[in-house]
Amino acid sequence: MKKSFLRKSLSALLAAALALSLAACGNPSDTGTGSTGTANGSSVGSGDGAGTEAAGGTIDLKYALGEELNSLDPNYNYSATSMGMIMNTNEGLYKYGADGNIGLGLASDVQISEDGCTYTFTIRDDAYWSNGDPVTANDFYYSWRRLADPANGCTYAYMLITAGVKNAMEVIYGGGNLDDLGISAPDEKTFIVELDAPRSYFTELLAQGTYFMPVNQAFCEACGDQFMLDMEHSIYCGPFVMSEWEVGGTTYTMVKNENYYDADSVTTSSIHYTMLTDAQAKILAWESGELDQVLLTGDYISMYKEDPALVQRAYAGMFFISFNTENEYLSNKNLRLAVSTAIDKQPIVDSILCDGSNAADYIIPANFAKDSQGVFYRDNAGNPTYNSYDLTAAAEYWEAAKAELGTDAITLELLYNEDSSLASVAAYIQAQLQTNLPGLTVELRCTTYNQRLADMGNGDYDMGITRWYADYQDAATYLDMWIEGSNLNYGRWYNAQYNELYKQVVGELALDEEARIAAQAEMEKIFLEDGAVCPLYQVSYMYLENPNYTFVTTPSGITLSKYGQWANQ
Amino acid sequence: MVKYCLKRIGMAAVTILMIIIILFFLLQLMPGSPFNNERLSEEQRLVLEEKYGLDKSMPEQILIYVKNMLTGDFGVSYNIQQNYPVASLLANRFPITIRIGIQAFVIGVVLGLILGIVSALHHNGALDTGTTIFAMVGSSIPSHVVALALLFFLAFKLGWFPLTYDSGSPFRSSILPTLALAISPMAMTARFTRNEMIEVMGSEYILLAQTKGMKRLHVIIVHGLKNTLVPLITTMGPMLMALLTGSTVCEQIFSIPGIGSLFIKAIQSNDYNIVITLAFIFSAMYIGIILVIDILYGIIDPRIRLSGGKK
Repeated sequence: MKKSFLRKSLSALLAAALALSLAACGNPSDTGTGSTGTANGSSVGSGDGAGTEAAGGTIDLKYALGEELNSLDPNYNYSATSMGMIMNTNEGLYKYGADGNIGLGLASDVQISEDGCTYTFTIRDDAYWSNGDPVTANDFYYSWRRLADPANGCTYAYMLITAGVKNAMEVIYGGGNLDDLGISAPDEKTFIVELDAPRSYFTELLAQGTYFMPVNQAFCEACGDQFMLDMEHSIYCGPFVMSEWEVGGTTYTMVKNENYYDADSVTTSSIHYTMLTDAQAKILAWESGELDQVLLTGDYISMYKEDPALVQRAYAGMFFISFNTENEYLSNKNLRLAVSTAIDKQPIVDSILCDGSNAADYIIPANFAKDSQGVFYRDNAGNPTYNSYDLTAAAEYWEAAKAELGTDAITLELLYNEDSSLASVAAYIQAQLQTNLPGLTVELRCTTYNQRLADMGNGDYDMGITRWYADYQDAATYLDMWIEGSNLNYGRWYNAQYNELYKQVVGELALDEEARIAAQAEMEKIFLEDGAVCPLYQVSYMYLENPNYTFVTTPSGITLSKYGQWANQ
Repeated sequence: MVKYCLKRIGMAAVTILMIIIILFFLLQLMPGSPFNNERLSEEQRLVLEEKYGLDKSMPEQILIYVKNMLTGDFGVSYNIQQNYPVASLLANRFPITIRIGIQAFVIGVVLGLILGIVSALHHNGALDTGTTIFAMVGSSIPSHVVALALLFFLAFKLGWFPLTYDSGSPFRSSILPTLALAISPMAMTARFTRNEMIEVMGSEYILLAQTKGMKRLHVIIVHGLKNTLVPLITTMGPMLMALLTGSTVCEQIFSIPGIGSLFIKAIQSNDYNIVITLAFIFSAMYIGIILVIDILYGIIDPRIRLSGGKK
């Protein structure tokens, strides 16, 4: 392998160098600052990771980070990369076990009321903070209020609303009193959460949502602005504690927390993170054994095509074209459907991306959001597809649109952000549309990630390529985006029936799983039959992984580094 | 001389203030905000802007910034490393960039000078051709190609150097990036020195010195090199600045926690405080270097007057 690698590397070196000058100026925004994806598989890193055997058989994991540690503050952090790290140094009421299933974490018991609206947690007696303080109900009470407090502007505050916590909406957005938030801590060890309606994904949200993890009030207030900013001002109650952490640095090391109540099940001794963004440097580090998990991009995918260490992971992330329905042309449904059906998506994934991504004629991802029986949403919904590539249909929609709009020539702009593969995808879509819909002119506009978000948020665009990674395991993480008043409704799309169904889903249907999923499927149908967006593909990534290890991951794709495992050989 | 320096420093302060004001205005024109996470609502964005004082008027913001700056408070990072004081972020990163930059500058200039002189003295000889080819190639190859090649052969194949930056052994980790960055200034200096030297060595005062029976080495160093240095110094300012502001690509390849990549990232993510602070430091450095160069001119060639002076 090494010899062929040398040859491959040398030839790749020159080509890579050329690409590098472009890549170096690319946007870092897609790495981590957005969200957690959802892995369909058993192992995937929050960054690129590695397992390395140290003397004595201890497991020391080595990961490459795509960006700096954003924040170890559970409430304030919004970066997916840092979430993976917080998961190691903190813990919630629920946690993922070594089998990947959810069990109780810092809570030793939970009582759920019959109506599914009240959760009474008992906090473990044997859980302690790294400074020796016991973990108490107040740590959760304080943390959740801190998350909700509008004055803090926490990015993930809205997850309290998603979780259905009583009055969360009023508190966060409506100027409501923080004391009205549906949580209480009547005594040291009892934490009560009241929901306005049951949420099927409540436990899953609490297990994976690092923003719901506890904060030690006394310690936090003593630190003030410095809380969790460096070693001195940090406190942990999870399976690991930070051992090397230089402010402004790019490497971080954490070691096993011997005071963690479940230290026996933590098989990993230490985790080392190095920020490594250069693709070539990452490959060299992988080849020399300094990293055992690397996210592959571009040409490297074909280079390692035959390598047994290559692992493909599908994510619950969707790329799609958002149509601005306030545009004079795109307000026309037939035009949106013409565009949607005129793009053959298969070549995008086969020839441009080549990373195992799947062409999608749906907006809620496949292999995602299991119900209580373990059946995925799409399978429950009957795997419907909408607006598939069909030139005959496209021509009909196009003719109808032109007649309704009273014009033969339409010019639309396609907005996308800087990204080497998106540039090719956009150029391909432009060619497809201009060929398949004669009279339609598509002008490409490339901008920075920030500018794209700003433009789409302001409605200053016609068509825009955007994407969404699931926040949690329920179709609602997608469907909620297009309800009235959502700031993610870039297309300004509105449908009364859709909004009504949404109310039912979070209201009377909340406890009736079957009816709820049926209503969600109906929402997806209304949404796509109206051509509100044009789905492009469901994301997948290719990794190189050290075959000596088995990584356990959450459904959201965060590696549970504490359960370092030797692979069955 | 002292009066001249004080005057220049005063002008520098005004220049830097102007730069900060212009930057504040330019940053307003930048798309988006530091809080452009899709998950933030408009209300939350406003709360955050208020929290960090971004809702205040431009003159107020500038005033607050300058006032805090004078006490060493450069604000906090908005999104790269949330709420980290910019001063401490940079305090750990700057020395690494400066170290590599200065090492690369010294190696590049010293070796470049030697190559240039040798080449000029063997004008049109084999050594000259070799140096010229090296200078041509060296100034044409981007530093990241050199960086990748060095990383591949010396770190990956031979294992002489760490593949990724090791803060435990900063010198060892700085060697490869230093070499990668030194190639271009070395080539530039060599080419420049050669051309200048050939011209100087062909001039009449060199001929006079030689006919006076001065030793060859004395002629080369005292008369030749000294006169070659004047124009060369002009090019050194920008060269040093380019090295001290950090190379984004080299930092990424060697995973160096420097400021080059931080600067680019801060601009891309609207992390205003980092952008302004770095721009301030860079401007101060640039002005300082230009000042030093101006003074150096006077020392090397007394005919160059620093200021109008008295008659």
